[in-house]
Amino acid sequence: MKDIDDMLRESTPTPKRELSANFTQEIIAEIKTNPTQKPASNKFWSSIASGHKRMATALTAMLAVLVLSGSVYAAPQVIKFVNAFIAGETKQADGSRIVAINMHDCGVATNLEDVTPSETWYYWVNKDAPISNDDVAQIVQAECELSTLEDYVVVPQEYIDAGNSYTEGALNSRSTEFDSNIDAISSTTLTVTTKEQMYGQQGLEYYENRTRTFGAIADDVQVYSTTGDRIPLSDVVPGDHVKVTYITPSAPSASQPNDDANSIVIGIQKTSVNITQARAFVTYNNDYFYRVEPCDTDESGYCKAEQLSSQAELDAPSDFNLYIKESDAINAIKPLYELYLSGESESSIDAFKQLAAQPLLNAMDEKPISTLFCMGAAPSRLSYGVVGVDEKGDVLISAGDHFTVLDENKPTAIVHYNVEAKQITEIQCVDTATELQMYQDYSN
Amino acid sequence: MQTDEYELITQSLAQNANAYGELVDRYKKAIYYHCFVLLHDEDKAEDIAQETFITAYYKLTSYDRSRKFSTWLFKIATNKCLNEMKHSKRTLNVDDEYFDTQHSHEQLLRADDTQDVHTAISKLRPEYQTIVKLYYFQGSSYEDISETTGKPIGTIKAWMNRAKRELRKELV
Repeated sequence: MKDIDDMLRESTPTPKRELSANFTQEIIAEIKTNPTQKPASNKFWSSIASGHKRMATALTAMLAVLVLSGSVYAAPQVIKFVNAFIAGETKQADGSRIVAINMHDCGVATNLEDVTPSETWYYWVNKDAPISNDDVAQIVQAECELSTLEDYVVVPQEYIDAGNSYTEGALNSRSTEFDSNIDAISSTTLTVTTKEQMYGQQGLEYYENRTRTFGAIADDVQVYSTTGDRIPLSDVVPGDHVKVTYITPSAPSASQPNDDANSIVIGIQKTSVNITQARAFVTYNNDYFYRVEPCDTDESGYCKAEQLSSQAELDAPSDFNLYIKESDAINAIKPLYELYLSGESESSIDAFKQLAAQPLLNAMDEKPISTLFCMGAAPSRLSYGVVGVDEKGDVLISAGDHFTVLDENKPTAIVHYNVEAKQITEIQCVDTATELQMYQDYSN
Repeated sequence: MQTDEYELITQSLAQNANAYGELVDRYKKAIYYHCFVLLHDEDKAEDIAQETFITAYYKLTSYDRSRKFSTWLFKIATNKCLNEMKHSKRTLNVDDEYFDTQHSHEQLLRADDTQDVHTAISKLRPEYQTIVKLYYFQGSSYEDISETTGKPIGTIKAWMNRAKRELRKELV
């Protein structure tokens, strides 16, 4: 049977004809006939930079699914989330259990041929899985909420400033990931912390905590509660979990990071506690938890639901708690290494002292920082990798001054980081690739 | 010698239509193919490609020169194609002529598969259609798609997984 990826790639369409010969001439004729139609103005961003207060209704934002041709405003539709609750539990001989969840109008369910609204969903839960039945219900509900929310994100359709109209195509509309945490909010600025998925060396994926402060909030910012009701901006408070939609003067790139200071927040969607809580659990790992359906072909009475098997392909890690711990460890250690890389050796020592546990500091006995980091005198670059977890539960992060940790015979530092205490507890130098591999094998 | 793109944009901003025509010539095939991949209709693709260039001309003052001109063009084109997909209820028109002419059994089987794939894709939400087509047909990376659509990479990946899940149900 063909793989879905192959099927898609082999189906690439090719146009049966070339462009018309007069394609360009028609465009030139059009712009010569109407040389100044719908002129744009660079006052748009300069007005933001100068702190110009925009008039109410300058921004037209609406829910994406409610866009009606020719309409300017549309009443927001109340989001009807699922209401998941436990309908029963069946213990299995091997200690695992089947949890029945009663679902109602889940957006995900409607995509499945064999599932109708209000149907009971069944989940197999491993006997060792650190999740309760309530957790299962919450995870399932969160998945449905996320699926629903994606349809209800505020999308700018038009921005009118100084009589000029900027339509969707000319605006850079972007959103933060779901579950950004509000750190501070006023009537004009918004600061959030987001966990953004990053890609490190050797395919390492981790979350990086990023604090972002948006320089302006549109006067008619669209704010929605977790149930989709329009609420005032004043209802958004620090600690809320949200998805933020904003327009920005330029899209970020590797050489040009987000220009948040000159961006305008146009939409804030609160996300429910379910989504926040669910992310702390193992949601997609088939070892712990997966959806089943009643069947006769398996002696347990339940078969793995075929349509859910692809969830294993999602990028969520097998152990979300560990994933968060690893991400926190990298977030803590990375600035220290980057400071060192920048040549600020004195500052690096100070920063290290802030992070190191006292016993480690005592043991270091004022050794030079280069020895501490197991590196040469002038490293040109750094790479990070999660090696594993030691017997105390501390996360082991490798850091070296070469591109990959395994392919070169160069020293690498193995940093033991205690996430709860927020401290480096130990550092070891590993001199060879073989030694590091052994370390990885041991810790895993 | 080709005129520098920066210079062509400067001249276009000064309403030099011929300079803009040169920019159009540079990108018209790429934009046409991009629209065709998304719309699967030569006539629509050509129309939207023309609209893209005309819109870009009128919005040229809002183009940020620190970014690639082509990226900006593709973003406008993608938005226009997405709007077309959202507003058009028509089903995918797989080329019937293919089936009217004589082909080998293998060719017909392949064509049948292709038709199934395109039909399945056409049943997806327009946003899902867009990312599937850009990724598989256009060869765009997640980063490129994120840039073009203005959606975070995490969203693109989640949508892709959902789209593939639905396609797998239809096709496998």
